Amino acid sequence: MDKKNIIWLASYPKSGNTWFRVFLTNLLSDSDIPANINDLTDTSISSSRKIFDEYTGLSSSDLTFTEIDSLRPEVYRMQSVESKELLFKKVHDKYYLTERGEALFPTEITRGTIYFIRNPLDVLVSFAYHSAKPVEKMVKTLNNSDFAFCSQNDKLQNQLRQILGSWSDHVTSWTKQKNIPIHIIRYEDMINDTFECFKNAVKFIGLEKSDLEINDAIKKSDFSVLENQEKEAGFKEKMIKSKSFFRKGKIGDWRNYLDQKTIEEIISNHNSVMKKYRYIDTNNKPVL
Amino acid sequence: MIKTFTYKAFGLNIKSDFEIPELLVSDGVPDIEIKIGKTPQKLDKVINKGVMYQAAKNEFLLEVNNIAKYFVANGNKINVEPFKKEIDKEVRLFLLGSAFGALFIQRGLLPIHGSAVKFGKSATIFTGVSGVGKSSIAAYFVSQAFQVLADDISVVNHNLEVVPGFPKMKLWNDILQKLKIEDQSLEQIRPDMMKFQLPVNENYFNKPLPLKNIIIINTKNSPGFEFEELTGIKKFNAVKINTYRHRFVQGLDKQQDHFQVLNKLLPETRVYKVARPQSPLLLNEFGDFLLKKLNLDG
Repeated sequence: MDKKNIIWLASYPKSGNTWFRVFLTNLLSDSDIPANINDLTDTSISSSRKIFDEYTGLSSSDLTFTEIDSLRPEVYRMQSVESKELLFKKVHDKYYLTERGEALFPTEITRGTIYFIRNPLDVLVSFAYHSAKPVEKMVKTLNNSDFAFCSQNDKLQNQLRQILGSWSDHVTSWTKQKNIPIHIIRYEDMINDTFECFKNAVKFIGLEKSDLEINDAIKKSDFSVLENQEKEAGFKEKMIKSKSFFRKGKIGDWRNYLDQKTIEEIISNHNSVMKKYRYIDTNNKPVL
Repeated sequence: MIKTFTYKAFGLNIKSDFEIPELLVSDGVPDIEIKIGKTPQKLDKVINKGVMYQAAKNEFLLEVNNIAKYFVANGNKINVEPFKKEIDKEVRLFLLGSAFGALFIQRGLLPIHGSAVKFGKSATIFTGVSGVGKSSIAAYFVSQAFQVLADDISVVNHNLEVVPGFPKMKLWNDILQKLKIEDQSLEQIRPDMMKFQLPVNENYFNKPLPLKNIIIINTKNSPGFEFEELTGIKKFNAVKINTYRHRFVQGLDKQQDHFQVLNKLLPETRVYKVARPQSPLLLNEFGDFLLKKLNLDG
């Protein structure tokens, strides 16, 4: 029988997903010391090649992107069946249907999705830093409806292909689908109203945790803790070209980096979604 | 009379209903028979299953959508039921991959996921997760005139030797370019993929060799190469999880054989965990590092 035991932690990159995963690891751990950022295994990424190969019995490196997509829902179903506990899976793919017309993330095994959204102006700066790419190039990425990770056809990449689409495509794909329950978290609310924001997420997941436990997990996941851990021992999810994964995490840092033309380009391309999530006002002026 | 074909691969004599041009022709009393024929709908008494396979004691069933179904039994029989009009390279690709993997486990052999290269008078296996560069580093050594025994699956026999597989490697286009292999006649492994089959005839070593090293490749997000020799339980577990399709072992009820072969093998073998920068893939530097630091050629 199907169990609804998977929680997808979905986001466009650089939108607070990892911070939340650290919080969750701390919340679910019995240890007195903060969880190791290099040991967030309970929230493994849904595009893992290793897991796909193990569960299918096939080499993903011998399969086409379409074939892999059509098997991914089956892999998640099998993981759901085998797991006695809630499974948290990090996702950067947008929500879409495979060629067979079935959702990549099956409804019947899903308890819910937490969707993290952040001001695209800040995402732009952070993503550019993280990928060691110039901002001008990153603007194109955020605007690109065909954007995907690990989509090169002539080499083997470390993860399965993930179709993201443009920033707006990504947001709307998850927030407009009606198949699975979704809880939307703005990164800015995670920063400004941390306790309430995390408490609501815990409630959505259906975990019974006291305010004390939630506060304790928040403390153990403080930005300074993560930054120090990375300084001391590195963080394996960092891309090789960037200096650090945990950079600033600030709201509105884009004001220090972006010129008017870039700001306008982002606002015009993502106008309706930015308005809906209160990143621009009715006059199209940035709010945060 | 129906024509049959005979080959030798992974130390086993193979009789087949259809041609398998990837393998070396040979004769001898067959250890394995490969037939075109019906496969069961499902297995009775399944011990474990994956999305595309079912495993039971002495029986294994694999389905690859639009390609074929494969039934592997008793370590000596494979039935192939193609979903296509003819047996082509795609049908053979999964036969020589997952189906063979199950066959080796049924026979109590140790298939390790990776490529084996001859250094001196012994073999070294490069293993690690998918995409880490196992075939790439083996192909680099081939380009440096070393000989390869197997690509993707390296089988260790009961004498603790690596047995030669077949003289072909599977390489992605970017690696062929890095190695300046510009042969236009190379065949794609599948029509839609820029992954090619590279024949390595002269650089293929066709006799078993004692296994000296297992090198588990990892990537890291900082510059420079690192290595660590593994011992004790870490060594055991590292080789165990790099067994080709290690979930099949439990499904085929072969944990005891697997445990025994690992216990026999590991005191005789050095196991290293090596880390390379995730990008760029510098094959020359990586190859040099391995040769010098691990004294592969010594």
